[in-house]
Amino acid sequence: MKESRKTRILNQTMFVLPTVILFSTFIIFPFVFSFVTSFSKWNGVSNVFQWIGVSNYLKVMEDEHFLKSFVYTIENTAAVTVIANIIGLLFALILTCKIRGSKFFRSVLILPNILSGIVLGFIWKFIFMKGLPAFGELTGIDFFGISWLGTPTTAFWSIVIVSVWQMSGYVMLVYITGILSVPDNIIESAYADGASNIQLIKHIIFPYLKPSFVVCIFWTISKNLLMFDLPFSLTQGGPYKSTETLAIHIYREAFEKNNYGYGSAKAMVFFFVVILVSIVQITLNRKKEAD
Amino acid sequence: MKTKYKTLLSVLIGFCVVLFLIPFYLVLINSFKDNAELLTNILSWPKRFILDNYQRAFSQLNYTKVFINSLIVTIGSNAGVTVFSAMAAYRLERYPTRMNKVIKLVLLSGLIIPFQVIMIPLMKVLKSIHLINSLFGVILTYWGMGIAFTVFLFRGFISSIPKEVEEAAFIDGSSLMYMFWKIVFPLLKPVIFTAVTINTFWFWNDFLLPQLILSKKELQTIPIAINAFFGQYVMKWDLALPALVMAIIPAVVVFICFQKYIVEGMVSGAVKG
Repeated sequence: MKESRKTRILNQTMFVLPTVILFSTFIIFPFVFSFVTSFSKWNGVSNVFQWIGVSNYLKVMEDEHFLKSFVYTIENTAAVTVIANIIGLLFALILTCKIRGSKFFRSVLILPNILSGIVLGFIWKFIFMKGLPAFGELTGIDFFGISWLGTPTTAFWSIVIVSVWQMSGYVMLVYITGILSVPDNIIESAYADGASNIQLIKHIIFPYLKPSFVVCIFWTISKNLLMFDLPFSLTQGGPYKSTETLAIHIYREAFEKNNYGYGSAKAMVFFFVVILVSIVQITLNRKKEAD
Repeated sequence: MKTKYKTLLSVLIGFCVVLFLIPFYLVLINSFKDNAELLTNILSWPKRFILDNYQRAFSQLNYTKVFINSLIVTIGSNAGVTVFSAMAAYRLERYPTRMNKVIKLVLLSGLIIPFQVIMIPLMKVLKSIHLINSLFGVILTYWGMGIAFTVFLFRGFISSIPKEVEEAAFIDGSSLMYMFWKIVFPLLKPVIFTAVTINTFWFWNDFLLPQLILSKKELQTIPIAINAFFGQYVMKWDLALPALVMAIIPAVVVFICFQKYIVEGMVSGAVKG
């Protein structure tokens, strides 16, 4: 559609400029600013930037708390990604068997996913502190009465349990869509050839699910790498900072200790990890398209 | 799949569904108990339903106010993100000049920047334009943060609309703006629904951004208010549980009413996004 120079400028301004301004102000500028401050010592208040080169980054590499939080975030991400995907896939396989009430079951299983992580954390705080101990008393099984949020190991698994509860429903939805995309006649002819359920799943359904696996696995990875709300309300990162995710750690460095420069350097290292994951994801997607 | 094990599978999934619901159930029944009963009797049905808990939590939480704040933020953010993204996506898709290609690329790369990476300077930006402690500040920031994803959702859809419809309108001599609102925008309805579904749950549930921007009590949204409430009434479960139920209800009601659409929106957002 041909436009005169004047209309082109006018249209471009009206349609695209608001987006460009908003995006630059709230994403690009802060990002560049964050990158620049990571090379300075700055408390966020004064106008004096003291340039200190890469020493923030060197300090980050030796920062025990940061490394601990880094390791915790990776461990938690790995555990939740594996468990949530296995459970979500099992749910999807069962619910696509045309059993009665599967619509209702599906809705219940997604329910935790539509709520705020803060709220989920508080719900489970009650369950871990009151509900499970009461259940332990009732049944006489001591296991339920352990101090769920009181030790690093139990707190780790408490957060895994809640995250899986939160995320497996969403993952299930994507797997269900994938399974339903397998043409009926392929399934029928597989059965006609005498395939068992297991063979059908392994040789027919799984190959069709490849794109769903990529979507779900990377969705859970990025959700967990960026996790803030749930541990913030459930454990406040404790006990002894054992469940302090990178997101919480950076938040505290900047907004509780007011180390803006140092906090920015940590944020940049965090960003680097996120980039790495995205690169792997994009490469896998390219490969999938090439196949 | 074959149906031999159908009963077994039904029982299994039924059991899982019950497990999934138990936390909600326990919070709900205990929200009606008084303190004494909460100490001794967690698992059983309330001896009598105490509504006084709800009354106190409702006023302590300032529920009406925080509910309205959440509503304002969600509606305002959705309106802006939808309008700006639709316009930009349309222009970028239909007029692929070199400049527009660059803009598209920059938007795309912005998708992977996590909030924690930009939050520190973002607060400085908001402070300098006096938007700290303002609901509009939150809304404006969501516009900036939500646009990239929504533009990409819209772009794919727009490319599937045949150009002939628009060209016919141009022959009638209408301006691009008029044609966009009259013809293209209504066609976007399905993808707008997807975007609004996904973004609504984000705006409604988000914690960190409003927590950083809104420190005044009268401006709090539901997640902020609940967090402050739990900080203030540590372990006072007779107040905390009713507050929690009130925080859960709006999202659950919306989910039950629009279930079908929400599920569709969540799936298509995941697959395209």
